[in-house]
Amino acid sequence: MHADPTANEQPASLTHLNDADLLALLHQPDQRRAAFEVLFTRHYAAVWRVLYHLCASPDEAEDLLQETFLTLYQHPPQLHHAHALVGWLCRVALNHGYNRMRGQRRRQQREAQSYADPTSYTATLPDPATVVLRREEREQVRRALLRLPERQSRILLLRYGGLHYAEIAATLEIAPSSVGTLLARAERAFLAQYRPLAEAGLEPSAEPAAKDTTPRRSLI
Amino acid sequence: MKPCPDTGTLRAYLDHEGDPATQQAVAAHLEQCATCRAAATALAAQAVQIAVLLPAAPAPPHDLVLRQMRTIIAHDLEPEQVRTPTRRTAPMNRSFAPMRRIAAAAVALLMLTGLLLLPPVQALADQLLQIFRVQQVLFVPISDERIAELKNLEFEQDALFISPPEVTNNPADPAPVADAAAAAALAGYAVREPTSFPANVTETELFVTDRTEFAFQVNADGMRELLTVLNITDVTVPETLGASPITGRMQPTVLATYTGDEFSMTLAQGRSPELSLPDGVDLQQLGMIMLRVLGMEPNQARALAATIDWNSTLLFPFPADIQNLQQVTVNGTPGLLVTADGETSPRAYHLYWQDGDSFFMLHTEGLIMRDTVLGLAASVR
Repeated sequence: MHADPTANEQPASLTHLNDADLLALLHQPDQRRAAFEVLFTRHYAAVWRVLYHLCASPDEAEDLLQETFLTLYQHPPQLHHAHALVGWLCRVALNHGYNRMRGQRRRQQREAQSYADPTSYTATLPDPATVVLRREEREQVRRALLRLPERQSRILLLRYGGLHYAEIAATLEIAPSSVGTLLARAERAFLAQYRPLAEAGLEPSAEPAAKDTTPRRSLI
Repeated sequence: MKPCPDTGTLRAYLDHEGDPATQQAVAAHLEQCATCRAAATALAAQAVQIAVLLPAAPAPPHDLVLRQMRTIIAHDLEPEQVRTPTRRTAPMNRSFAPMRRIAAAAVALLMLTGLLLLPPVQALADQLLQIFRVQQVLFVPISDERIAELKNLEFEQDALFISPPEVTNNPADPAPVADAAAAAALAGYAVREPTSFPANVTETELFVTDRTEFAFQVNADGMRELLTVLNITDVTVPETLGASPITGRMQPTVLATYTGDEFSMTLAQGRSPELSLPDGVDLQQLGMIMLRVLGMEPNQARALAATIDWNSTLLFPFPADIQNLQQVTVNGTPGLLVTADGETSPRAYHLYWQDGDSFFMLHTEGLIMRDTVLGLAASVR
């Protein structure tokens, strides 16, 4: 089946409303579902693009996407700007995503500790020629992202996910005028992490996690 | 010439961001300043490289993701709930009450019957499982064909037992206790609790089940018949297996239910059942029978049976190609996650795992994600 919004019975009466109006309808029982679906349809692709490179697999991205919109559905935010919702959604999505990554990283560290000699672990990996190159590259990109301070990887995910500076600023709760500076710094740091990885190929990630500077939010 | 713009301003300029006046000023400056031109070129090169590495990902089809989303929130969208906004969470919490009891009963039952999920397999094999003192779980995949085969046999469970499993003591009803310390005092072992929850917990209930003793006597002839029907000829049922009753003892199990806004979870924890076997019964032989009944090839079953410490291993059969069963890891030990996709509860999970001779079963209901379930389990200390 093709993506066809009309196939999903979206009430045309709501699709012209802006995000703020739709958010208000989330508190009205008889309109809640319809309003939610319009918001989902409007924003899911943007959230997906922001999440995608953080995730090890599309399945993971899909889980996080659902988690994000479930949060919207359960706890709709009070937003004062008509265009602030994308930022809010991306922030929730990345919070969910980083919480998950932290869990995975702790697991990986535990597992890595059991390998006394890291080179022997590397030696057990399949012949690089048999590994799908694209997947390997994607994993290296992800690894480089996760080695950055969270603030830096977040801004990269947001920018390359297609958000404008104003939306990035809203998501990260920073001044719009500082986006360019932070972005340039994050880009430089990312390439510095990525290049050695790309040259060395995959290796076990046993190094300590980048310091977590953002407050944790509870995950439901 | 005006002072050089900072890196951030240059970067924003490349993205056509910033106010128009600044954009024009930067453009004018770049025409005159070779240093800034070089800096802007370097920034642009950097951005292009990253754009290649972080390409915009095509989103999944709209109808697909919307359908999934609807399923997830479906039970929160019941018309009667939608019509009573002020009590949006109340009906849900109410509906948890019977669910909770059923869950607790199901959990206890599952533990007693060897955690088998499939009725036909259960009918054939669950009592065999009791014979093994549980310390490890071995997950044995069963193919669809084998499940169908076992189902089609319609083998009478009675034929397998001279006396079917029965509770022989008179266990008291589960006793409510105030907290984990009280539960531990009653159960006789340290009681663990989750240290994280999906949301605020508004109600906690703790119960300790009574010690349960049970007994059954295997019909060795019936078991042989079953093997014959299944065309398994390479294992023999030991004569002594059915000679005397097998007795077992289940230590108290602690059931803790945590209820909060739109979720409910029950953690059951206990110790492996202890069983007394008739003299002369070879556990390895029984394990082999089990593996063969589940459809494993003779050589594979023999090799596996020989390598397993049957004194401490529970066989856990699961359908190989079913999607709602998934092997997971909880604090470094293997576990099994079962997703229940019922119509009334689109998101219910059962997660089983072990730690030493303790076993745990976490059941969740409500708006809890799969990964959250794993996180909750990992937080049990």
